[in-house]
Amino acid sequence: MRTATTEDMYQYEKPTAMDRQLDVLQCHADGGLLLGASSLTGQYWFGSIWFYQRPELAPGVDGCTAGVQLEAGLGDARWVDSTHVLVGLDTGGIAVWRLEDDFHTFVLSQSAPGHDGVVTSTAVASDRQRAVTAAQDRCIKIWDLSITSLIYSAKAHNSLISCVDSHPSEPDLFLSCAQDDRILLWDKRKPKPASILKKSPLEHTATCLRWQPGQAHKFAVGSESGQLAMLDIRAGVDNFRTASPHDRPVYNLQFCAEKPSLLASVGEDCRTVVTSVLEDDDMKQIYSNTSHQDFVHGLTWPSYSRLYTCGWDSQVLCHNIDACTSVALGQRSAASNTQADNGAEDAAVKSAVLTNGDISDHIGDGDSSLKATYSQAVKTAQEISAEG
Amino acid sequence: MQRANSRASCGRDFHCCPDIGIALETACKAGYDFVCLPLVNPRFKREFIGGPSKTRKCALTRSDMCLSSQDWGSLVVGKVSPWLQLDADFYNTRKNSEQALKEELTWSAHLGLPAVLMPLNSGKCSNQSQCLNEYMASSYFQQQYWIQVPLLSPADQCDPVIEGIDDDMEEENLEDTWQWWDKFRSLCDSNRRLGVALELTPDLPSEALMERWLSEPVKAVVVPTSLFLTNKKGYPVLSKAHQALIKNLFKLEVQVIISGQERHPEKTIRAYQQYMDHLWQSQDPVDTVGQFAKGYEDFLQSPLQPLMDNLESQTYEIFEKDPIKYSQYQKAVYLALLDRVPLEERDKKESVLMVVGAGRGPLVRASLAAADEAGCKLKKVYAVEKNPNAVITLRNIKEAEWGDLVEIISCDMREWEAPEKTDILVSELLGSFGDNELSPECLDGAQRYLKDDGISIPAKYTSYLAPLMSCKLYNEVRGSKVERGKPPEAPFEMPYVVRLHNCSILDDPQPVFIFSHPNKAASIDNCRFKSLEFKSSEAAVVHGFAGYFDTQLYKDVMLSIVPETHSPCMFSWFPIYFPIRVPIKVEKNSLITIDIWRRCTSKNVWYEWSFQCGGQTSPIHNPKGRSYTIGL
Repeated sequence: MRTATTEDMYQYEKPTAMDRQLDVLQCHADGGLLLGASSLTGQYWFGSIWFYQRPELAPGVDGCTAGVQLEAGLGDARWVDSTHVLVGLDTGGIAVWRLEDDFHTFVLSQSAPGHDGVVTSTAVASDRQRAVTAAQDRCIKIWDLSITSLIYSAKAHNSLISCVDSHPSEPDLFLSCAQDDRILLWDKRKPKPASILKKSPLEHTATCLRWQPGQAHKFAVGSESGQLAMLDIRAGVDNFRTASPHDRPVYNLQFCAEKPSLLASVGEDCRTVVTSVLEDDDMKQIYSNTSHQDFVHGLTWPSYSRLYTCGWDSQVLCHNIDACTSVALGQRSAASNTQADNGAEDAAVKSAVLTNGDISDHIGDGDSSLKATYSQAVKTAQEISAEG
Repeated sequence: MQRANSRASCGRDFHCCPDIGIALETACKAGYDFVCLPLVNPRFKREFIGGPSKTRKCALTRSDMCLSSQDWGSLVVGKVSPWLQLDADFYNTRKNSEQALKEELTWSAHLGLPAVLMPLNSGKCSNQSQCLNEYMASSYFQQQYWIQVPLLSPADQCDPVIEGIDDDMEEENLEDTWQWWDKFRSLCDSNRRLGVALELTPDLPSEALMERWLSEPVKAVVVPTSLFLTNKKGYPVLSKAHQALIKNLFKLEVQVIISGQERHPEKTIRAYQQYMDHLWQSQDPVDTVGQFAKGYEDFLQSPLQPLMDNLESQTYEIFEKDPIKYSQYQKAVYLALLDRVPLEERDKKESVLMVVGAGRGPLVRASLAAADEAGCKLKKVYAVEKNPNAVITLRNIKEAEWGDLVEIISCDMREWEAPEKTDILVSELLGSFGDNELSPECLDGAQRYLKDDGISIPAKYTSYLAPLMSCKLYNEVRGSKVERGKPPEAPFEMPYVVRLHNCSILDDPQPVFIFSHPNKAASIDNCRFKSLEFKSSEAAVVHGFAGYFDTQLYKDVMLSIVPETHSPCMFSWFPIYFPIRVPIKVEKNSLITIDIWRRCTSKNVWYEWSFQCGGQTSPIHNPKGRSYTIGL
């Protein structure tokens, strides 16, 4: 691990283009939006993180408040606190970036070599002191965030790890799932910290999982077949709540913090689904959207009625759960400038409203204007890799 | 001693490659010879089942124009995507992975990459084998596939952190990853394009388990940087056990792949390459036999038939260079003369010597030197040789050196009518399997002119057999052409002389046929039958058996090519290999029975053999000598 010096500052310029594949979306506590993007094809496989004080401008390059290019693509990123972002890189590296200059500049705060494989998932413990990372190298690593130093590392899965998530209130608890078809519950206080959880009624391999906020024992899990299930970590509890809203693997899950009975899920069927998971009731699908044209990977809840999603189609969508509509953010920079101040909900009214419609309805609708912003060959900040 | 390669060939593995130019440059600058790169971004999953992403428009990966085709073809080993699950239970996952693999393999062939790395992470690999096998069957480009097999399974590499799971590292409970490979390789019918990239793990299995890898087509050894320790000066070094294993693998000329992050940043990534080169340079020097055999490793040769064919000048020349054989013969003749001629008779008693199969005269020379050394008088030395070309050489030497003492007889020893009987009959008619150049038949014919109390040198010879595993030799046999008029099984029904290298001997050799001379039996029968029982201490595949011999020239003067007792520096004989038509898999501690016959008629001699192991009985190979006989 190393601490960045002020000499590094010069290179933290905003990139001139957005990377094509959008993987990460995280609302800021004060209303901003963090976006993580990678170029997974083409000559250079770099990535970038972006901060938008006005989420409706995402994923535009001009509309960003801060943005920085990274040495490689990133599979996951998290807010550590209001100004720090934890990033897991495709190189296996772990970095903490700090927003300075009133959120206008990303500055590398700490970095560590991290894993021997692509980092697939990151999580910040509830006490914000530690972070957990998982990677294709089958390792779970725990980091002391104050100095980004490794405090624990374990090879516990037999295959690449897809997801980790830390408990909403217990800093020592977290979950992991991997291609080895195992879901592990971790309790760092125990001498043998991991235990295997029963995955029934989930039928196939878990691909992602998420603790339910406000609950001590419950978490949601998605599978390779598109199934969702609510599971309880306690051995004696029978799990029965399940639904299958996706046709292809579920990639990511997010509970709505304001309303923890709302579970949003996105997947490789390009679908965005919101499911109601009320206690002692069946899981009910209350929203489904197929506007994305490629894998949907990032999702975050700015409020209980709205959901942002992003994907490999380079789009950031704002879903209005109550109205069952969605709109692509940020793309018509010239046309929507006038009303941008009114926020995304207004934009949703004025621009072509995309409802849960058939996919064929809007192919090409958002495509043409987006192409200009694809990153082609941005070659600026890769010096980080040389030093880091 | 110069090796084929003066330095270790070392590659750098990148699990992610944001900029291919920088990756190549840093690796080359740090002294690496090649790089292993993902063919497609390791996170770039594709969709082949359904949904809008199935028709995704963007490029699969970076353009082939990033590098020249020469660089692609010589510097880059491609890696398939880590997320592929070709043996997933779930249909869609499996199907999607199959399509994605095909896409990546097609691309790698387009690039002309010399090899593709593909991980083997479980014994559940039937579908993965099928996919690759089908692809190989349909592609004309002769690309190699390096199957990356860890020495310990991922499960056995796990840290003991899971409640209720024993972290028992007892050998018995370890999963045997060689079995995964064996299954994969067998399903692909031991395709020659398959190689192993053996991935070292922090803990290593027992030596017996690792030994088997030496019989596999190991092309590369993957060394994660996490295995390196740091020495006093801060440089990365490996443990003794890892060093020993790598040095063993170096004998197969494997290449090294350094994987994982740089863990000794102050020494830079170059330090790993330098260490590997240091290991390469510090290998034990190649011995005389190894030097002589360079280039002949695992190269199949038909056994010589000096009785039927006349040897060529070149062949004589090679064998006459053996530093041990003739000095042992000289010693044997010397001791025999001392025994036959008591000290008090040394200056008057004259002995007769016959060298049958004199060739270009090395045994005549050794015999003369022995008599001289012993201070014994010789009445006559008869040099009998049937090859008229060698006789020319002999006559020339006689004129220049030997004079009247030596008489050259241009005749087959079995037909020659000797004017007198001899005290000592010296011959070297031995093959790699002892009697396989028909020494018994020749000497039976020649012993007519040995005095009743005369001595034959050699006095006795014994052949040996041991079960052998070698995918390489099996493939070599399978790839050889069937001669006209021979049955299709013919290549599997003949023994081969071969310098055994990429193979593993599964049990200690046991004696098979013994012949003693002179043979005083009333009616001589050189037919033999022997049944031998062996035990394989680990699971293995029997690809045939290795044959050796030793001979007692006189009293304790021996020559041997049996590994345990091999005469130092003697290179005149390589072992012999008896193949098997269908390789037989055997489990740990199972018995392997070999039946072997030596059959004779008045015209020729041949071997027949069969195996019983792994619950199977092979048919008798080479019945009635249909594929291979040795002519009298």
